[in-house]
Order: sequence, then C-alpha cells, then structure tokens
Amino acid sequence: MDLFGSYALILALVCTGYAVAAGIAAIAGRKVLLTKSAYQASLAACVLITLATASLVFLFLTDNFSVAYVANHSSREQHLFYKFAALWSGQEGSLLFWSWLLAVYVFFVLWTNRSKHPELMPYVAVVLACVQLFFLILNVFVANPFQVLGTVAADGSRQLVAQPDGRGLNPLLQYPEMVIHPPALYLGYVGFTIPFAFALAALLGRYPGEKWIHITRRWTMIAWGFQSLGILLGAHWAYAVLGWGGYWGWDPVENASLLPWLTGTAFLHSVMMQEKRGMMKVWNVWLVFVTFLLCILGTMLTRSGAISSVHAFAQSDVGHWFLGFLLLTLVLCTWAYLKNRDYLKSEHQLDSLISRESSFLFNNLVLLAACFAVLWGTLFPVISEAVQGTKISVGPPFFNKVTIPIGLFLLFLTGVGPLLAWRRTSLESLRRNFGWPLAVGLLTGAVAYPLGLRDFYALVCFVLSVFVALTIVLEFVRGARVIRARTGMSFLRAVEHLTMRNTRRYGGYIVHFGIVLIFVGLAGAAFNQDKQMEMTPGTSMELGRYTILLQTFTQRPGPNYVAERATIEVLHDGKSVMLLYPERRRYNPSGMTGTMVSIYSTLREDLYVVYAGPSPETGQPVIHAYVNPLVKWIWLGGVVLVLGTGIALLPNRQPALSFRAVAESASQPVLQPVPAARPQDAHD
Amino acid sequence: MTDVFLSRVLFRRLFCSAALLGALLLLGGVAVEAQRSEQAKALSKKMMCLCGCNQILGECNHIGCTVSTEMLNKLDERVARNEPADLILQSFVQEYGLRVLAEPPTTGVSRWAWLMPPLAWLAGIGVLVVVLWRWRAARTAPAASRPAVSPEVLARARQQAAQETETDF
Repeated sequence: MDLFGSYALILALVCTGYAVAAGIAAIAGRKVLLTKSAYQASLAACVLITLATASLVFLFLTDNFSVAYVANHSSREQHLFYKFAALWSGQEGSLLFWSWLLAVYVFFVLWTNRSKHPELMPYVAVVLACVQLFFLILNVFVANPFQVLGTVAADGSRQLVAQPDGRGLNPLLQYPEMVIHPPALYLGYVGFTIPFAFALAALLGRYPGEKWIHITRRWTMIAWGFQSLGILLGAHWAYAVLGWGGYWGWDPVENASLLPWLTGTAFLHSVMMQEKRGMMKVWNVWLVFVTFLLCILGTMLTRSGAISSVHAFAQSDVGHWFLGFLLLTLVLCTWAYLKNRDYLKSEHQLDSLISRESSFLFNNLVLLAACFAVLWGTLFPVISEAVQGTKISVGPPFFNKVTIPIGLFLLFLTGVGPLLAWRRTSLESLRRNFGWPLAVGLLTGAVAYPLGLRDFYALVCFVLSVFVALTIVLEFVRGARVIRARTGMSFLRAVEHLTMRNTRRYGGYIVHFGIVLIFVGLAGAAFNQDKQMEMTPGTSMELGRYTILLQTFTQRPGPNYVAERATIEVLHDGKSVMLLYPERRRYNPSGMTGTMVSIYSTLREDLYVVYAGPSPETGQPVIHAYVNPLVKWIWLGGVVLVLGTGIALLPNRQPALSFRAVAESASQPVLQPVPAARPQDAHD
Repeated sequence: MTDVFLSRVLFRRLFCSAALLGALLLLGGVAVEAQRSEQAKALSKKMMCLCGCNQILGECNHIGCTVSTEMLNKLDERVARNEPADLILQSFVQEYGLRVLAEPPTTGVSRWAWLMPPLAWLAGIGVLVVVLWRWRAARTAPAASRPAVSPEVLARARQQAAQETETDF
C-alpha cells in the first residue's frame, strides 16, 4: 500500500504539471479543448491525491510500522479515532492532508463552474494548479509520507524493517478536539487559495467588473468560517489539555493562524465597498494576496523551525521551499498588479466622512494594524537576532499591551460600522441608532466601577460590549417590528423572516454578536486567580468562592496509558457542588506524559483544576487550581460566530408577497397585498 | 496578699503583652511570607521559561520541566533574600540572556519592537487621510462643469442607489 500511495502521488504530480502547462498553452492559444483537458487533469489529480491519502490512512489502520511516518505517529494500542487523526499529526502527513484538501477545493470550484465564466476560469484553473503543484512537489520530493524503514545489507541490497510497534501519537494530541481542530484550521488556510486564485486570475485576464468578488464571496466566507472555528477549537484544546490555565499564549503558531484571519476579516468587509460602490479595488486585490501569502508564511513558520514554538513541527528543509514559493508568489502578484493596475480604478468617490464606506476604511485600518503588530511581534526575535546577534523573547505581555487597545477600537467599530448608511449618515440617524445603546453602555460602566470593576481595559470592554450588543439587538427589533406590523406575524417569526430575507446582513450581525460574547470572555481574564498547593487526602484549599478538598488519590489503567488521578470535591458555601478528576497520564509505549484538566464551568467562571504531578521533595500530589471568570462566554461566542457564518452562507429567501388578513371586515378573510417590509426603513 | 495580687496582675500583663507581640510577629511573618510569594509570582510573569515551550515562566506547567523548576527555585531564593525586583530581573538577564525577559526591553534595537506598531498605525492613519482627501477632492472638483443629467442617467442612478442601499450589511 505504501508503493500504491507513492505512485498515486507521482501520477498526481504529473497530472498537475500537465494541467499547468496545458492551461497556460490554452490561454495563450485560446484553445477550448486544451482548457478542458487541463481541467480534466486537475480533476484526475484530485482523485489520485484522494487515493494516496486513503492509502496512508489504511497504513495507519493496519498498523504498518514499516512506513516511517506510521511508526513515528501511531501504535497498536492507540484508539482507532487517533490512528485516523495521526494522518495530520506530523510534517509529512499534514502536508499530504493539505494537498488533499486543496485538491477537494479545486475539484468543487472547477466542477461548479465547469460551464461558467469561460474567460476567467482558465486562469483560475492555472493558478490553482500551480499551488497544487507546489504542494505535490513537497509531498513527493521533500516530505514524502510513504518512506519506508529499511537497512542496507552487506551486498548493498535494501531490506524492509518493520518495527513491532510504533512510538505512538504525542499524548497532547490524544484529545477529541485534535481530531477536529487541525482539519478546520487547514480548511481555512487552504480555503483562502480560492479567492486568491480568482483575484489573481481576474487581474491577469483583466476580467471585467466585480464578478470574481461575487463568485468568491461564499468561498471566502467558508474559508473564514473554518479559520475562525479552527482558531477557537485550538484555543479550547490549549485550555483543556495544556493545563496552564489559559487559552491563548501568543505562541508563534497561534499567531500564524490569526494573521490570515485578520486580513481575511478585513477583506470580507472591504469587499462590500467594491460590490456596492466599485471602490477599493486595488485594496481588495492586495488584501486577498496578502491573506494567501500570510497563510503560506504561517505554514513556513510552523514547519521551518525558524521560530521556537511548542506547536511547531520538527525543524526541516521544508521552510526553504515555502520561502521560495512565498517570494515567487509575491513577485508574480506584484508583476500582475503593475501590468494591469489601470484595470483597478475606482468607479466612485467618497461622499461623506460619516458613512459606511469610511467605517469600512477604519475597520480595515484597525485590522491591518492588528495584523502588523502581531506579525512584527512574532518575527521580532528573528529580526533582533539577525541585527544584533541576540535572540530576545516577545511574549504575551508585549502582545497584550499592543493589541488590547486595537481590539477595543475594533469592538467599537463592530457596533458603529453596520448602522451607518452608505454614502452619508445624518446626525439624526446617529442619534436614533446609537443614543440608547450608548447611554446604557455608559450606565453599565458607571454601575460596574463602584462595584469593584477597576481594571481599565476590562471596564471599557464591558461598556463597549453592552453598547455593541444593544445596537445589534435593536437592529433586529426594529426590522422585526416593521415586518410584524405589516404581516401580523409573531415577533420571533418576524425575526426569522427578517434574517432569512437578507442572510448576509443579519448573519453578519449574528457573527458580530458572537464577537461581542468572545470579547466579554476575554475581558474576564483581568480577574483570574490561581493557587498551587501540595495536598494530602483530606486537606483543602480556598480559592475565590470555592473550597477545594482532595478526597482520594488513585491510579487507574486506561487503554494505552496509566493514569494518576486525584478526586477533588468542590464546595461552595459549605455545600458540595461537584466532583473533579484531574489526571496525569503516562502513555504506552512512548512513556510520554500528559495532563487531563478537570473543569467546573459556569457562565460566571470556570474552576480549573490541574494535577501538576507529585512534589519532587515530598512525593505528595501538587494541585494547581485557577478561577477563570467568564471563559465560557468565549466558547459560546464561538458557537454564535459559526452559526452566524452558516446563516450568512445561506441564499436569501425571496421576499414573498406579504399578506395581512383583514378579518374584521368580512367573514371570509380578505387577503390584501402589502409591499414587502424594508428593514432599512427603520433606521436609514 | 497584695504582693500576690500584684504579681498576678504583672503576670497577666506580661502574658498578654507576650501573646500580643507573638500574634503581631506571627501576622507580620505571614504578611511578609504572602508578600514574598506574590512578588515571586509577579516576577515569574515577567520572564519566559527557556525550555522551548514559549510560555511565561510562572505558567510553564510541563510535567518534569527541569528548566522552569530550576528558574523558579532561583527566583524564590532571591525573593526570600529580599533583593529588589529590578536586581533580580537583571541577575536573570545576566545568567540567561535577554531572551529571559517576557517582553523586549525599551533600549537599543529592541525598542523598535515597541515603536513599530504605533508607527505603522500612524502611517496607516496618514495613508487613510490622504486617500479620503483625494476621494473628496475628486468628488468635488468636476462639480462645476457637470452637464445636465439626462432622464436615462437619472433612472440608472436611481436603480444603482436602490441596489446599493437595499440589501446586505
């Protein structure tokens, strides 16, 4: 099966190489048949990469330890679930997984547009095939997952060596979320290739109008949604597994996933300027380019070993390849822009500084500033080492100081931006839309301060969160009231009708509401408490509102590990509220250890308990407990954000002719058509 | 009898004073101990663990991480000796290098770590102002020489305005 996988990859490489060559020739010679041939080659490559990926999964499931990648990332005792997840747990497998996801994206893009946009699609197919070719070159020549373990005999012949058992998956990765988090994140990273391909293709082919924006809108939202989901799942995994009491440590790999998310978010907003007003064309094209380049940069940082990180893969030569690809792509994008920049002229100009357009400009500026700050902090250790020969650390205190003010300003814009009208907003409209939310937000701050909420950033965050949440709620209420008045629907039905009539707008509001919840959760970190203590059974410690009583300390065997487990009773006001079971596991056969955190989670706060291991001096269990306020709001916000993205992806429900029963005038209800409600009536 | 009474009173006073002194010393001791651990905790959040985990020293929880254990022990010792915080941080920098600090210092090349984000922000605002100014200028300049609007153009503009303001957020 390893040979099958290798040959499938080589054939996929050949097919993709042909797709690139045939695609370029077809564009140059305007040959339709050759274009179709290039499409077919890309589709064939997708099938072949799928076969190669399936064969690697098969090797994992059948414990074929003659393959080096399987031997390094799996073991016989490993749960089936994690044998499957081992596919993307190392360098070679994850690159193959990347190739496969890209191939699936390419397949769907080519298939759904097979008879559309004949001027644009050949360029798109070539750009996609070029990216695919790069990853297949890595799969075949640089990080081949099908390399076998072998020895060279005295006569020079090579013999396969199958190990009796593998080293097993890293214990930190043996957690259910690690089965979902990497695919979600990769779907985000890889997904940004699609808008990039369309943008570059439109520029290269001087494709008229904003059509490429319309075509890629859903693809961009899908990629963005997966990127958001991946980041949040990663944060939850870090929180629930790494056992340091936090969810975001500003690690370079975490930052790498945030960078394209920030520029992708900016693009999702600024693209509306181009759709509606034909403005910011250059900006949008470069935002897509930068987003894709940041995806590649992030991958390079993770895999090259240039920056130390607990998440990073082993150091390898793959970083040079990524750097080369990055520079080549940058040169191509710059060349395409310089050659065809006259095609990107704006059709309209700004009418007023207080308008939706200017709020999008500020939104983009803030997101780009955040992106630059994070990128700068991430790369600064490397820059510092290159300039002064000394490596310095840029840790969470730096990122918190730099990004928190930017984040709060962004939160403010989240509330203000969507309620400003296109072109121009009157002062009366501002007062009507923001008067109450602003007043209630400020009142919240005025009440919270005397109650002890003294942390400046947390206070500002809560005030802004109330303000933004209210602007969103009022927007739904106003729209639903109009519909209700005109149709007689119940309020909830009117909200549903309103949302489904313009899914992009109201899905966007739901996403914003999710962001507000996440910010509330983040603000809670200002009030974290923790305590570490050596404990013997029967002893207790006080933390916040809780008494933590160690009941027992036992050992128990698991399927591929032995666990030391503490049973902890949580008391609140003298009453038992929960039993927690933090563990420390020693995994077979690697002997590696991992923690299993135990969390008592409420909307108010999380009681987060870690068994930190036995004390080196006394051998007594050391329990580290944290009280982390409002963390649950972050995960709730994530759910709302994903839900909102899903709604925004749905097609708009056609505004059906609305009817109002005029029952009072006749025994038979007479249905009277009324014009469909316009939500903007309420505020514009 | 009076002597006995006096000696009892004296004994009681001495006992109370001793108890009070003991309690004060004990409380003082506890307070000092609490202050120490808080200081150590605060300092541990200003430094990085150098085991490669890229975590704050006080938050590194890798089981068996010898690096953070050793560093925290040294930190506790220095805090116990009542050394000033700056001196403790300086001694760690001398021993482990600048990378032990969780945030870049504000001197030398490292100051650029702090300067660049606000500079980029200011540059962005500058670019934004220029772009807005140019857009506004482009909008107002040809207004005087604008020809009369034909009904077709007006209808198309209305249609466009409806499209731009009707849907999507």
